[in-house]
Amino acid sequence: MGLALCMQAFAIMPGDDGDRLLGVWEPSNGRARVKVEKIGSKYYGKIVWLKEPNDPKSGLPKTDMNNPDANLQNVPLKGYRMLKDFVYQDNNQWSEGTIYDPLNGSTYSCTIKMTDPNTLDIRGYIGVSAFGRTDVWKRLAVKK
Amino acid sequence: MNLRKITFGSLWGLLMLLMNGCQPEAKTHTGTMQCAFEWSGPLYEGSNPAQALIKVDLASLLGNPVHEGMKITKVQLKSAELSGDSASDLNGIGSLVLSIASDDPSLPMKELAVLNPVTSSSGQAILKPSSEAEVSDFFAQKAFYLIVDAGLSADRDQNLRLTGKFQWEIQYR
Repeated sequence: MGLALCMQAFAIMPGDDGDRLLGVWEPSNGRARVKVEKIGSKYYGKIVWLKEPNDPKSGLPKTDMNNPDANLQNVPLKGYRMLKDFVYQDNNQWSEGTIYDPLNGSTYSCTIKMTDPNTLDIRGYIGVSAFGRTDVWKRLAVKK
Repeated sequence: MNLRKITFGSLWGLLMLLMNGCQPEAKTHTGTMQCAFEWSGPLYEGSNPAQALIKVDLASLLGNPVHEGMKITKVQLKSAELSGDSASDLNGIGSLVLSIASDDPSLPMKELAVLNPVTSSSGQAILKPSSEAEVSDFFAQKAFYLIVDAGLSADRDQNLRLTGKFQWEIQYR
């Protein structure tokens, strides 16, 4: 038996400005809700709610059937991390991350800008940020 | 002109041959690591993550001292097993997904294995590893995270603790 060095990691570091991203967010199409969590020093957003959670053909919960890796096409879509590896920069911006579109199995570079405490501009792009599309996400539980 | 091309091509080929000849022979080793994942209850229906910080200890994984200049060229997960302390610990878990992540901005998170649905009466779940995920860059770090997402089919009042046993195929020179 080899390596047994393992420790539980504590994700949340209170007082980190980037932690303002934590919470549940809804894209403009209203078809999903995404919970942003922190693993290590990076931010990840996983699908926690789907308007249509089941596949209309099979009636079973949707899975990541467009994943290019056939062995992973059975990963449940509810719980899937569609936002990955975001690093807080400054000025309410997170970058270095990616956004995954489960509808076509494509992953895009992505930046996040918090325009107010309850609104995010999520910009997905290929190559250069100028050639991309921005979606506006709203925080689900509005902070008072 | 043609003679020049042939000469250049031959020299280039010879150089490549010499460079490859100087590299140490690649070796493959299967190493096993174990770690625990803990969830504090109450837990709610849906995906619940637990993470473990893995400190990379190549000597222990390879069963050999690591010598200077050794280079890990390829690492792939070969098997992933999660087990509870008792046979009933996996009750109510609909899916299990294993991922790997790092604090290094250049290393994106990767999904490594999945079991969906979880059908186990023995308290032991064998996940299906990705055929493509190559993670040697993570093993070149001092540490990385393994994350298990347990998809619960219903709320659960108790804590949950699973032990992970992972086999990695490691190629090195």
